[in-house]
Amino acid sequence: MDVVKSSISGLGGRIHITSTPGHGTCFSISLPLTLAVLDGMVVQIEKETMVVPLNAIAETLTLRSGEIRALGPTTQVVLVRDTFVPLLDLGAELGYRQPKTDYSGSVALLITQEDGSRAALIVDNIDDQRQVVIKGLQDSYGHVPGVAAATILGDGQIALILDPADLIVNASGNTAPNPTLRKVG
Amino acid sequence: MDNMENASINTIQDERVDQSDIELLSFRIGDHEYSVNIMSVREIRGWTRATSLPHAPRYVHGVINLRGTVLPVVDLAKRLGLDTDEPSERSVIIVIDYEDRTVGVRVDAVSDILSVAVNTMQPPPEMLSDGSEKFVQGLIVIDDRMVRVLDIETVLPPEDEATA
Repeated sequence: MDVVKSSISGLGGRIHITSTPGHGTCFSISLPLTLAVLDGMVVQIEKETMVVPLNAIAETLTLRSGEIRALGPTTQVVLVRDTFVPLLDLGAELGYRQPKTDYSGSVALLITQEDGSRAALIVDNIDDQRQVVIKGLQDSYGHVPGVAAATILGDGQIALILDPADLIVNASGNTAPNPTLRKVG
Repeated sequence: MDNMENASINTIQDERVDQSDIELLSFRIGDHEYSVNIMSVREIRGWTRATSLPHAPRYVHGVINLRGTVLPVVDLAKRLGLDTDEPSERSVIIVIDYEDRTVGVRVDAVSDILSVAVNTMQPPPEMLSDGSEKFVQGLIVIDDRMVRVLDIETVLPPEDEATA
């Protein structure tokens, strides 16, 4: 019985026993459904701590002004070893801030998708790599665009786990603070 | 409605609580007094910083960690369209169960537990000036104060809006 209780507690579950003498006993075992653990990169975006799944990240980049080129009036690309990769400002895509005027010196995550397409997602800072426990948002709140799930960090705060594929599909790509033609760097 | 009688108040220690009484938890937002059926209140928490959700409606304050689960928090003042101060550290979060959903609701302060007879609750008057009456299930008059009974379902964020 003790082994059962330890195993269940170890999984984050609970066991409850009700018993009526001469009648029977009922054991209720509750186990959390989402036991998934994810390897993630913990990043800062506009003072919010967020997590990007590590398996989506090919590498990290520091953007240099010579490598950033304008594509359209509000979109830019970055040169990564002879190919141009679309640039997305995550702070702007998530609605936390307006696009910046200058992204040179910014840190970006190079995301590779299953179809081979790539994108560079700009974050404010990369904190570290961590394994996080996935907590679903679907049941408690519903779907949030660009967000896969949530996790609880060591300090008790909730951090959102981003969905890079969803972000890229729905991205505006807007990296210009106002829609005027920008000079090529 | 000509029948304006004061609801009889029994304190929670009173033994003679009638079967037809309901218990309401009353709380304050700015100068307004609201209440919810206490049977739907799971707990009351002090203020904690919420993680904001991108692209959420303005009245969704964010999510907080409720002992290991993710709890969405609605800023009730914004939801009702009331003009009040921004949330402060003295705000209180009331955790409410509605059907299978649990939601936190930020208010300024929790006041009282009121025991009122169901038949003294009046329906809200149909004044369409500020739009806040659709959130009110009924009115209770206590000691010349008007306490609105909140309709919880109207306050919750809509469930799973259509995905792109």
